[in-house]
Amino acid sequence: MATAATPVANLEVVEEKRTSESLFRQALRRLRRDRLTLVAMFVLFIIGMLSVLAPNIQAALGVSYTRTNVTAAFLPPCIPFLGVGPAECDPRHILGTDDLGRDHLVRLLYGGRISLSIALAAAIISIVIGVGLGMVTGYFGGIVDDFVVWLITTLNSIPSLFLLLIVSAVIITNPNFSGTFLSGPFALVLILGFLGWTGTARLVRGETLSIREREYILGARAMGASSGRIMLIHILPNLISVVVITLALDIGSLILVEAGLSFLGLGVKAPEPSWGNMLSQAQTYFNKGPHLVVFPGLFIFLTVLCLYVIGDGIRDAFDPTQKD
Amino acid sequence: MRHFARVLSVGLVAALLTIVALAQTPGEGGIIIEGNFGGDPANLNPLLLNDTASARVAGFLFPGLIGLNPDTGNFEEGREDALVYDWEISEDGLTYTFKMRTDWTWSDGTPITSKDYQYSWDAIKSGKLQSPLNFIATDIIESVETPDDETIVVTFKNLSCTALSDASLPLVPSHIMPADFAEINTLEYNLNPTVTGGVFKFLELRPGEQVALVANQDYKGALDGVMPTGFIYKVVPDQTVLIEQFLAGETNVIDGAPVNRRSDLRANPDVNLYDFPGNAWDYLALNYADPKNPQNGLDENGNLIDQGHHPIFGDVRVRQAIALALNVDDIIKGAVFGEGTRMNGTLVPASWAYADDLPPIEHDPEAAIALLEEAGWIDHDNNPATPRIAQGALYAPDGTEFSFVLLTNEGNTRRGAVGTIVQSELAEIGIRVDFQAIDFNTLLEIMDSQEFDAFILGWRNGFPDDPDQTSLFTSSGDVVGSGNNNVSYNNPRVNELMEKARIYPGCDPVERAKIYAEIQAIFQEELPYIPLYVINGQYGARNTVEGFDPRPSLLYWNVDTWTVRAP
Amino acid sequence: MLKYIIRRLIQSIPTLLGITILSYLLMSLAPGGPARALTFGNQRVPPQEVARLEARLGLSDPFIIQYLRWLTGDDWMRWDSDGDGVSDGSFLIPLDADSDGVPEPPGTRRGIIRGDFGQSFFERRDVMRIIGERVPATLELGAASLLVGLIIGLPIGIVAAVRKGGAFDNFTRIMAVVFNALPVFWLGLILILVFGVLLKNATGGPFLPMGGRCPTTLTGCPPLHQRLHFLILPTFVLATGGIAGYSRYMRASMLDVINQDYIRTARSKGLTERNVWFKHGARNALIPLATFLGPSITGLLSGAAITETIFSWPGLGRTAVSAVTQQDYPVVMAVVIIAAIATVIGYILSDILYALIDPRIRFS
Repeated sequence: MATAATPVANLEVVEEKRTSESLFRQALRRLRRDRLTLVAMFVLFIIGMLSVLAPNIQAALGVSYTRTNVTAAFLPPCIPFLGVGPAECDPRHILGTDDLGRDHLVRLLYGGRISLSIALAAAIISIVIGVGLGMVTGYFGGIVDDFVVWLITTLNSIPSLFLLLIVSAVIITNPNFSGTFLSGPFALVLILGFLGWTGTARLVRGETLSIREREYILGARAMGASSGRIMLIHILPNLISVVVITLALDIGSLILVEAGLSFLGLGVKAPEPSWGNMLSQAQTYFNKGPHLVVFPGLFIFLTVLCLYVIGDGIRDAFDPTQKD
Repeated sequence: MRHFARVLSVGLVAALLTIVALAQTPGEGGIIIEGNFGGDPANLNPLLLNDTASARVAGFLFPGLIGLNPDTGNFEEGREDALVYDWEISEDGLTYTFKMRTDWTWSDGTPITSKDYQYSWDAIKSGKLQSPLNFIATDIIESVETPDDETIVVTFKNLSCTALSDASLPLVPSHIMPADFAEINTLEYNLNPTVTGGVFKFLELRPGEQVALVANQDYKGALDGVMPTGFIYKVVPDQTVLIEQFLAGETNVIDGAPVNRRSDLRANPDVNLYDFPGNAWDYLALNYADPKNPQNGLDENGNLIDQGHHPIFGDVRVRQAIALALNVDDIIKGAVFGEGTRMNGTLVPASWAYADDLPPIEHDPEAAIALLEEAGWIDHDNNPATPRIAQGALYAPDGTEFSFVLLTNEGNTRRGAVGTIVQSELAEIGIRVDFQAIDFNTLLEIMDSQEFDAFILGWRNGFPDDPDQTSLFTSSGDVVGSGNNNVSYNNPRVNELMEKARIYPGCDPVERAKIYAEIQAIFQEELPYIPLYVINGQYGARNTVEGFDPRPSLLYWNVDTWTVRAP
Repeated sequence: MLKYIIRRLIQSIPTLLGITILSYLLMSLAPGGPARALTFGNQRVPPQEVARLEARLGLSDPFIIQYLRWLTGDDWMRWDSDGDGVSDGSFLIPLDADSDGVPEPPGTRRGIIRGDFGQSFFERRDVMRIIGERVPATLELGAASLLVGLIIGLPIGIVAAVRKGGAFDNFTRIMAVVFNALPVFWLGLILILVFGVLLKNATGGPFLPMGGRCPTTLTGCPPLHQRLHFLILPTFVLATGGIAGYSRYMRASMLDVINQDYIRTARSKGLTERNVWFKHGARNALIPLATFLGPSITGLLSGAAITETIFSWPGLGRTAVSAVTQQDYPVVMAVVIIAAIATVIGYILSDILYALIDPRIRFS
């Protein structure tokens, strides 16, 4: 829009500058100065590392995320050197215990493994589909384009949660799939992944449409480069910022979606912990063990917040209209 | 004397107050509001209803046929709040002749007569109803005759001690019902019952919000008129909100508060509570027979079939070891927050047949380990964290790991907790449990197919409750694809005792209870189910509600006398 | 203009068709089904009986026929031309589907294109009646949330853009992210606990009702203006997404607009800053927001499923959730299709609105 008024000669210069390399470096430079995004990345890294290290932390603390002990249920958080918790609490249970006496912190970390990996895997699936379809349809157009656009419009017309409700009901509770890979968290990954690609596809399709007409693409085509090569080498790198931003935002919203589905009884099934099912189950215990409501909520909130901030930060960093 | 006068005057004031309280006009006693977690009633026609919300509302709308004594929970002749005041049983015990009151009417003024009963029976018998009562016509009642307006003659197919309960068919106003029974299924009436005959009349159903009923002053079962103004069954789909609304006084009656919040209720001074041993119980079922080759209990000639054995649970010692290894008190604490009562067998403690002198199985992990060793399940590497393996076990080849799949239905936090605790406690003695929560209907199919190792599920006994468990634990119920004895428990002695108690001539409870005690003693040895607990029932009312005086499973038996003060 | 609207309507037909195909396909994969719903109860129905029942109900027909029947009804597939109550002609489907020698009764379904969504498995009454009972509540909550989202969101966006980089701008931007990062059901519960349990009104009752749409009385539901307090909490929860979204887009749109030439011109003509911002800036910045109507509707309906459950709101979202758990597929299908139609209409309205207020778009 803004470039419409710029002289053509200038446009070429702009394009030259916009090759992926320099843009990428420029973005990195901007990111390095964006404190908020850096903090968010750091917090996210810590949460991720803690989740990855859950078994080690469990072993180090000498607690268990599966072993029940109802005589030690609803213990409050206990961090003696910070003065948190009653006088003689058990310091092994840093964040206390849940309704069945399982260690809350370790459960949260195991829950994090599940929630994060579901969200990450689903986001990757939806981005791969979205970028693939978006690029192909944007580049080739024609009947494939028409079909995919139709599919996107159709899927977007059904409120997403309703669509998720039906698909989870059809797949997860289907007796024919019981006991197979389609009944566990993996099914959730597939469902979320295969339903979430439309936004990305539309975005990528739009970008591809505009990139396709650029001079260097036309040049490459004139030099006989194959379509696949053009898409991989000349178009895909231009989409990296879109992909990274969408990835961050998608993971964030998928964590929330999993929590919502858990509230409606269609998320990850207990006793397998996820942040969503821990939070939705704990809401009935809010007065017996407030910490059981606070911490899963906090983990979800912090993670999603960080991802959104990072998404925004990367968007700003890649935004060519931003001044250094 | 002076003192006496004072006492007298105090007495007078009290008496006056009582009079003031009594002087309240029927139908102006305020609105009873109960929170409803279950969703809208789907069908208020008592011939068709099949969900708890509908049963609650229809219970108010339709007259009771045979009266119950609230204190004993037994059927009783001559009760004022029921249509039938007298019955006689024929010599052979198969025919019951009921006498009905003649002065009761439907709310449009039409008398309630035996014709209405005849209509219900004909409708059920026609097989055209989509009704859970259809089994009465196929399995229980042979015929019904109504020689005059006040007489009902019911003939049963077989002797049974549950005859009175089975004969209690619901009454509907037959004069406004269609002649073609198939039309009943889709009547407008089913969700807008304009003509009824119970303590309340139907006012309106606002879907997703509430069902509102108002007092029916023509109801003859209430001697002093129906005091409350009305009853509202208010939908609250979230459990936390349900209890908070009650605590805040937005509702004034609660039935079965979530177990984890009951201690809050007890701590609240504005609330009256009634706790009682409930009739819903959970159990752990272990398959007796070979899950790879499910067979029926009996062949065509009624002889027992050798069904093979479950490699692990076929050995009764293993079952006993598991029962000993489970700390049921802990399970009660963890799964129902202590709001449960241990069971010594498969009868609920509230039952008159419950064997009080039979102690529940003690928690004894050491004895459990000893039994496992004896049964040939050894801890080969002296590492309790790895599962035991078979060495000289009865039905499992040497080297078999002691691990099994434990199923329950998903979406049930309580059973989820039971399974998690069972898994964790059995892990301590070297048993690996693969615990899975699956879709309820899928679970039912797997149970019916008898191709399972173990599952956790529950039963909710009917009310009034009969201790007969023929379908659960005798060979006739061991039918692949449909029988309730899906654990394939086959003991000829139990078959015999169960039948004897079921049709005991005269149905004397004391004599029947003795037989059931004998059965329960056998069950504790052979453990068709590992008994767990019954969930305690709890009714609650705000103290603005006067007249709240429940009995076990009878919350509203005296609802005509209730009044609700403004808070 | 009319031509444009007609063209837009025609364009939406493939989408609507896609929605019906997709949802029918999904539902036909679902466990349970009408045959099971009809053979409920304690009786165990033998498989051959179920098979016959299925044949009679048309469940063993090819998928495409079943879809056609659902979409367009079956009164044109099997009919009774001489009025004797016995079918005597059929098209696409057999006259005697269960092969028992007696023709099946004539078709009575009118299909969803004629508003016949069949009967609910659970309540055994017309699905459209059930839906009809729930639509008003959802409309009420949805409209209120849309309105609140706009009334709060737009001014925030404008002010944030005017004071770009200032404290208000930063605060609202952070709040937008914060509210978006909270699970909806959790937010709803916290609000209920705060306004229903912690805070009391003058008479000691809850400060705001803890859910429900009308007071719990025997006198029916009063008109909307007497029960606005019931709307406050659910509306706020449902509107958080909208508030955050609108404020951010309004801010971006404002910033876009004020860099345009005509604003510079306006400024150079000596208009007050206030006039420039609100008369010229805000008005033009609103134009791109017209495209938000469509997505707003899907967002509101999605949010309604959870919001309505936690706040006991008797709307479509909750109906969909309970129908899914009860495996009441006719109801699920109806809610989905109706929600999708509402969304499509929303998108069309967006486009028309956009075309109306943006003179640069020509109706061609």
